[in-house]
Amino acid sequence: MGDYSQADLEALRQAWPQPAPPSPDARTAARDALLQRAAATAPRRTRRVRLPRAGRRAVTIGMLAAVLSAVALVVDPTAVEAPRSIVPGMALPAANAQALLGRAAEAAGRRAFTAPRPDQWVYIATRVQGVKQAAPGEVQTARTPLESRVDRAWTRADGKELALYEDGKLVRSATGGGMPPVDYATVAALPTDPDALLAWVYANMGDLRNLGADGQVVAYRLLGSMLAQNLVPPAQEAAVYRAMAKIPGVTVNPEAVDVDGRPAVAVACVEDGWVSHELLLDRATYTYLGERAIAGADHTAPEPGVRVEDGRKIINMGPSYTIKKGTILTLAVRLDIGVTDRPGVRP
Amino acid sequence: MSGGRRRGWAPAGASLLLAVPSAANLAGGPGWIWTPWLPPPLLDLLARAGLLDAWLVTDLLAASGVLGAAGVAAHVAGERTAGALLLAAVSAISLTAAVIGGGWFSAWYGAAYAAALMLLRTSGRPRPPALDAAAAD
Repeated sequence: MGDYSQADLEALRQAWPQPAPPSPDARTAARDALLQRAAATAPRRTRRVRLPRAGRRAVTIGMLAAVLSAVALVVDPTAVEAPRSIVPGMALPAANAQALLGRAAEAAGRRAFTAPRPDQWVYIATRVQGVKQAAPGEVQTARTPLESRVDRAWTRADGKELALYEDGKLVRSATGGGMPPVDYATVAALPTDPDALLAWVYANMGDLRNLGADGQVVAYRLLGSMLAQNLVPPAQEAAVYRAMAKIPGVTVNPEAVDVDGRPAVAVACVEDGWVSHELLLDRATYTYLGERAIAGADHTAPEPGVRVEDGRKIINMGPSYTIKKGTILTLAVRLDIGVTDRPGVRP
Repeated sequence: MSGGRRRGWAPAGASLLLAVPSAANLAGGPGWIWTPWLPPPLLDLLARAGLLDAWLVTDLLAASGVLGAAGVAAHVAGERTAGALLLAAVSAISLTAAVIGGGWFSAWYGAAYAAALMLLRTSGRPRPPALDAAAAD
């Protein structure tokens, strides 16, 4: 090629005729072939965004948690409210009474339990403290000395008999069948569904149901008394806590409560705007510890006479006295509970 | 007394019979008449079946006399079978509650509803033609 000069090439080009332009078919075929080759040689670009393995796992777990939470909300809305400790024995602060009582119910349901035989006796020892009956004009405060006694009671599991010490002598009598029940057989037959249990309590209040708005306080107190006076099977104990959680006005007492040096947490329901009825539970295990009635506000009993309140005539028979906020009206602490083969004997 | 007048008196008499126990109940504050005597396991079953609320409302409707009034109204409107069934159901449940332990109050409801039912059924029965002719004379 180097033997030809530029002038020779120019002479040849001018000598030959101008070639015809490529046909449209040839142009299209050439374009397709070019695009095909370009596609074959260019690196593939994926449009899918691929997460790293850890990211995929996190998304999967998140979606699973969302689904489980939704199912839990539908199945049992109250169960979701109660956060659980991931460390056994370590208690988390309760956001509200419903959460606390939900946790107490779960703990009660898991507790080991052996039912007594019908001929055995349930022994319960309780130390009861409280201020004495106020004298006319007296002002009682948190520093007012408390009177104290220890109650020991044996109740036959079948509910036929009750045994108490009176003046150092063991006295046996019929249980009577009041409200709440005080025998194992009746308590063990109570509903385990909280709504059914609550309906049973309201239906069996008798004359107490006429207390109007305070009927809720009465229901709460009856459930509390049932725990105080009985050996309650786990299913019924759990139902009691769940039923309490459904009563309006039940709250958590944020102040620390100590019972015999054990840390306790209190669930409270206020009666007449000043008496706070508290259920005391172990802060770690939610075991029943006792109950307390404490003045949540100052209260002065009116002078004897007749007064009209909300259209109702109220007759005051007793003397006037004042109870200051913080005064412990009653503090009942469970000392022991167990099963014996005969009354008068401790387990 | 003519048959027509007697038929007019029957719903009024039945209403009076049904109103008395309800009035006594409401005077002391409205309360259930069946639920207190329902065995707890049965109450538990109702709750688990999702029927507890319906049961409690029905109990309260019976206690307040609404079911009785509905029974009489159905009878007056010509729906005699429906009215009779309603009154018979309240009577039967009340008498069962009385036997279980409901005492005289439940028994009162049961007896009043049974008596009202009999009164309405008797008044609603077609009279023999001879009696109707005698009444027309």
